[in-house]
Amino acid sequence: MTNRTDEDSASAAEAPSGHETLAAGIGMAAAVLLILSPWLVDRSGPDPFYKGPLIFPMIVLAGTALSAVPAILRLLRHRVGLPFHVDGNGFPGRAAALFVLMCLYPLGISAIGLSAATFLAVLIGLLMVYRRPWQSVAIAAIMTLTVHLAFKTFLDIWFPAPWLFEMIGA
Amino acid sequence: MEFLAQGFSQAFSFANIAALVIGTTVGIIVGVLPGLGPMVGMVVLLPFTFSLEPSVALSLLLGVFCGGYFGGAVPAILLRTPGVPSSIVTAFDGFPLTARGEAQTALSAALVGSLGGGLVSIVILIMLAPLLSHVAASFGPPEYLVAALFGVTLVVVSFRDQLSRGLLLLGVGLFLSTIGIDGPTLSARFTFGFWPMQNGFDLVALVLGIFGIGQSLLLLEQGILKTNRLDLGRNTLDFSRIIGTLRYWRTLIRSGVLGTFIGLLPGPGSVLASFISYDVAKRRSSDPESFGKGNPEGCVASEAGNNAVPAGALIPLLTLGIPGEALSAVLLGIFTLNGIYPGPLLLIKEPELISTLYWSMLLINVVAFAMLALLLRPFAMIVKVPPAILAVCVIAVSLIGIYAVNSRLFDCGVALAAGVVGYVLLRLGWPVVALIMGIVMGPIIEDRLRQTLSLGEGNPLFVFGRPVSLTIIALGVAIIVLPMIIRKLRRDGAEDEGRASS
Repeated sequence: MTNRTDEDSASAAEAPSGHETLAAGIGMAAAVLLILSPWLVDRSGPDPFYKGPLIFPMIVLAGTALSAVPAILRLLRHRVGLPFHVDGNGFPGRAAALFVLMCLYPLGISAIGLSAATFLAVLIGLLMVYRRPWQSVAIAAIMTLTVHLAFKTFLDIWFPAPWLFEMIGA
Repeated sequence: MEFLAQGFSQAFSFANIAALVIGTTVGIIVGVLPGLGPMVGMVVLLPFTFSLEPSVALSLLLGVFCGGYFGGAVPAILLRTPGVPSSIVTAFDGFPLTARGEAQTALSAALVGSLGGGLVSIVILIMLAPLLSHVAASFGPPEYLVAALFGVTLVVVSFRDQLSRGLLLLGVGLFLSTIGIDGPTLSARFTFGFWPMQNGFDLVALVLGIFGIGQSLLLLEQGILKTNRLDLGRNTLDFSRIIGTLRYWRTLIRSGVLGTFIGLLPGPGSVLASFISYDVAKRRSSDPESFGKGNPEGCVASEAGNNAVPAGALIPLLTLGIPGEALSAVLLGIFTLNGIYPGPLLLIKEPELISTLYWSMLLINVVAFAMLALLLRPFAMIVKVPPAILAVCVIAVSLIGIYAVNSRLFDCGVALAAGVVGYVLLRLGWPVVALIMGIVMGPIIEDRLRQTLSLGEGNPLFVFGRPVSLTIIALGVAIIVLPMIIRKLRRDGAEDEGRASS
């Protein structure tokens, strides 16, 4: 009985995980890019191959594809299907929600300007993940002021005029 | 001495002092906060450096680099949670001392160790860099190519348990560096006809995405410390304990030397420096049994070892242009973005910059020590900041920084995509440093490869006909293969013993 448990745990340890799926995916993507690379790189120049733009990417992609061979072999050997879970610790809901908000943030900067977008993004972000309204408003205000002072006043960095305000103004 | 005097006035200029104080403050804060670390601090400050003089920009980032190691010891000692990975060794003796009500003794030992290790390593840096530069002056493109390959190989091999993952990520990093218009031939590569990709992926966007965004998302999910227990006794460091710590001066110097030489090797980094310094101190101690139970000498050894690594890592970076780990890779990025190419001629071409760098390193160590000694409680209280606030603020600042560089939404998109990649890789525990090494070293390796092949008229075997290249290759093979053979022999020996005893 004990031997069987040991065998089970040994085979579980050897079984492919999300790591292998990821490694195999990267390796196969590299192999596809390697095959397509002559068409994805402009080779119209006069340089011989060893001075040309293709040699280094080909070496790199070949090396990357080869590095994934052990993971691909492990997946093929076990044939248990492709495990897609990252690490079994569940879906990162809060991180995903904040990430989606932050994807909109750069668009917000170009649309309504640095200060307004920063205040809104930080406020909404904190309300989503911190959930204390008054503290969130205070932190968003401090953050907006700090960002404005650091980037606009101190570093004097130019940001494009917000297109939404320009549109309304026009 | 004349060389050192060149950078003295620049190092003590207002801009430089302000930069290193700000950098050190940020470094201590991110070092104190478990889950962030100096890398996040460096990449968040990266966009601010573009409008600064190279020496000031480097002081700012070096402040974060060194300050992070100083700060990492504080939560390790007070809460047995290392702020930076290498401080785990400091917790071995630091936390038992705290548990006995001697937190001040542990903190004094750690901070004196950090300061001493940092100073010892800077002296070695000043002495060793010109020697290595002199040797490297005889290098041509093939030697540089072999040295660069040797460096990245050592970094990948240092993750022995994840060798294929390290190679994969190195390959991905190198590939990402090829995307866009190829400089020498002006050919478009892997742009898929999408014009914003013709400029390639911005280094700042990639690094900020992977660490600034990826690490923050991870921090949000995993959380950090939740504690109300900060048993410091007083607001500042107890200076009478500092004097007491000085009796471990031998350990301090020895650990500083060890840390510098470990930092010199690409790959192993500060964790190994801490462990080896601690182990050597324990072996040479007259009371080895007290180690792990609250011996301040353990804190001195560990912190002196890990704080000597930044200066050690600067030696191959400045003389050969080879970064040993991700933090030095970011520094290399700063050099190249400013049109400065580290190598053997750097000390001749930019003596003032290098001299300023040495002085700045020295000042950073003193400033970090003084700040932590005088503001111990405020810095220690930082561990109470909720991770949700940190995550939102770090991501927002990262995205503003990226947008501020070129005002391109495409760069923000690259950073966000890199953030997802960074999050997944960090959560899986893959060696992300290999990815960064690939991104930073890609253009350098490709350039040297082209020059080497041009010299050999397309024949790569030409490299083996050069004695210096052959020596580096032999050295690389010895460093990589010998430990494998030794481990195999040890394993076989242990198996034989096991069989004999059964």
